[in-house]
Amino acid sequence: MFRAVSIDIRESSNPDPDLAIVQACLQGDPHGFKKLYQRHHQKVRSTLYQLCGSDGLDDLTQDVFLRAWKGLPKFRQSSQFATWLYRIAFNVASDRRKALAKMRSRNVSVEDEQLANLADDVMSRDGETQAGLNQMHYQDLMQRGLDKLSEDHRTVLVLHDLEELPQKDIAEILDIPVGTVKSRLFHARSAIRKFLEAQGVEL
Amino acid sequence: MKPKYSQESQDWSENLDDPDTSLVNFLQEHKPTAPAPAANFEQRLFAEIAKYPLKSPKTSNLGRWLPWTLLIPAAIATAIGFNWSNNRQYQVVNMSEAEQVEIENSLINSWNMANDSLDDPTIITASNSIENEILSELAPLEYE
Repeated sequence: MFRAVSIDIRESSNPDPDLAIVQACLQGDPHGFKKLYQRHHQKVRSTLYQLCGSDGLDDLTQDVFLRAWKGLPKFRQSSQFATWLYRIAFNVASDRRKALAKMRSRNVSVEDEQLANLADDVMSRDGETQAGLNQMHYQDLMQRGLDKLSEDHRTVLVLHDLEELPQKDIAEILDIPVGTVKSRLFHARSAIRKFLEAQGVEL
Repeated sequence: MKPKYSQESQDWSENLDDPDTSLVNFLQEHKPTAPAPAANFEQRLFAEIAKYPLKSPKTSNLGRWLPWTLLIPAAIATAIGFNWSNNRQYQVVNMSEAEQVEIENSLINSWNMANDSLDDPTIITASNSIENEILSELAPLEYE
């Protein structure tokens, strides 16, 4: 009961600024959806990039906004538009990863094994570690670290630590309990920390 | 170093006593940056969107409720029709007083006749004798 009251208070004091634009859009405002696109496209694009990499990023972004456009009349305005949009982005990313997994050839699986063993290789080459660290860009390291994570762990880490979404919203986007979000976040952080430390990053 | 969460972050409780602060700071500081979209991306996106005119919620609601709006009156009409035809079957025909008396008398007479036939021993013995004759004729056939 107290929880419900506190949520109501927070929601009423912080209404979703997108709802008015969505309403205008549904009433035929030709520029409405462009406003929504401009407000959210960078975050959506960034999330898709963290989840799927740069391959076909334009197509994925287009797919998200096209799905959002088609689904706009069905958008239940009881939830935040941004959360709804993130959910679409997650679904698009998930579909993409499944399609890629099907197409994955033997060569790619060999590459994965190499990536998994990369940490050990780097640790064994002490002399080269420092020089390699200087040359290697941290962003590349991060990207490779993200690639090492499972889809579930990567999604939670990206949404929480990189896109700074609250755990409650992530639970809503992924349709899982908050406890599961916490658990996945813990494991994702442990895995990426291990990878980064193995690459010589001091945290 | 950049603070762990921006000021817009809503879950302040999540920030407290977080042992992973340095890791999260590192992740945010070195977050991979998405490459810029193609020059005509936005134009291409909205050209694609223009192919799908937005259905207004009224239209979509109508589409959702239209089968029900047709089905419910049809069901009501069927129920009324069914009920009317049933009532019609059992409806008492308006008849005159004389006709009612005639029917009552007829029923009483037929009832009395039935009773009389049961009470009359000559009728019973007659019917019994006929039955006995038939049985006696059939009896030898059973052993042949």
